Amino acid sequence: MPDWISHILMGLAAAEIFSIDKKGLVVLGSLLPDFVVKINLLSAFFHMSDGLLFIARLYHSPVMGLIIPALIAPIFKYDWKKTYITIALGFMLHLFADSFTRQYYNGILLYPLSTGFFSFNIFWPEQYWIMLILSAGFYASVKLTRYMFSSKSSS
Amino acid sequence: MAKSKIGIAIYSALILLFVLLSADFYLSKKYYVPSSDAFLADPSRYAGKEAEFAGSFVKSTTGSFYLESNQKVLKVHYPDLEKPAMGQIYVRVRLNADGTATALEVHKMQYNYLKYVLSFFAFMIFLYIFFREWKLREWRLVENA
Repeated sequence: MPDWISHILMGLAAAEIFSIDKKGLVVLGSLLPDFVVKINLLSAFFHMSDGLLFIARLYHSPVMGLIIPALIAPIFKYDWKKTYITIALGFMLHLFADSFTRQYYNGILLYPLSTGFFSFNIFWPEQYWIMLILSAGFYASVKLTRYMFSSKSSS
Repeated sequence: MAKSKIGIAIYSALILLFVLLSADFYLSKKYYVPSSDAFLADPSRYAGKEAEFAGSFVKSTTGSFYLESNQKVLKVHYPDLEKPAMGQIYVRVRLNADGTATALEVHKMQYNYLKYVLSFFAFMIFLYIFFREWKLREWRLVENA
């Protein structure tokens, strides 16, 4: 799966495209799917409960991309609709980016629609650097385009 | 007052949905590929099935290598595998009744650990971006004017 810098850059690019003021919310959403599922990294140091590792995968799925932002939005003293949409946007972008990775969990969990997964199966996990270059390039081009448009409109 | 009661009711329903989905997903575990724990606890139950694992390379012997996944070691029949540099191994296997596995596909994720170093710095960037906009006041996050 892409590294977190790639996820942040994609979130920031989306914030620029949709003129979202609160970039912190998009970036939060962009990392949120990994905050729970990354407990599987702890298994490198000590044995983790099989059940816990299994259930953590659910929180990295589109269905939770609709529910988790709704659970988090009330924490913010801000327009709840904007908060929810912004965090959910980042969450779904993360899943979209991960769907390009070929990983041993097979991709994006389609629960509860099915017990299957979805993946474009393009990159191996160690090829995260390709996604990093692509996301950095995309973010830079979005920023440049916005700058050019704002310069033209002000002149 | 009525609005806050409706809000509390909706939020409670969301929490319930979250819990129910979690429980239902956990109960559907049998429909998914077995974990290394599940397989090693009862190999004959899963014999003949395909599975996928990723883990760190332990050692290589003639005709096989050992993979560590969730602190459990799995013997995989596959010849002449060298240890990947700073990374894990992915295997797609056919499970055997004797608690070993026969490799169908092996991939070395070379230098994959560097991604986690990068992500550590990314987390610092996230904290900067987030707390530039928000601050904690009592139990809520408010705009950082």
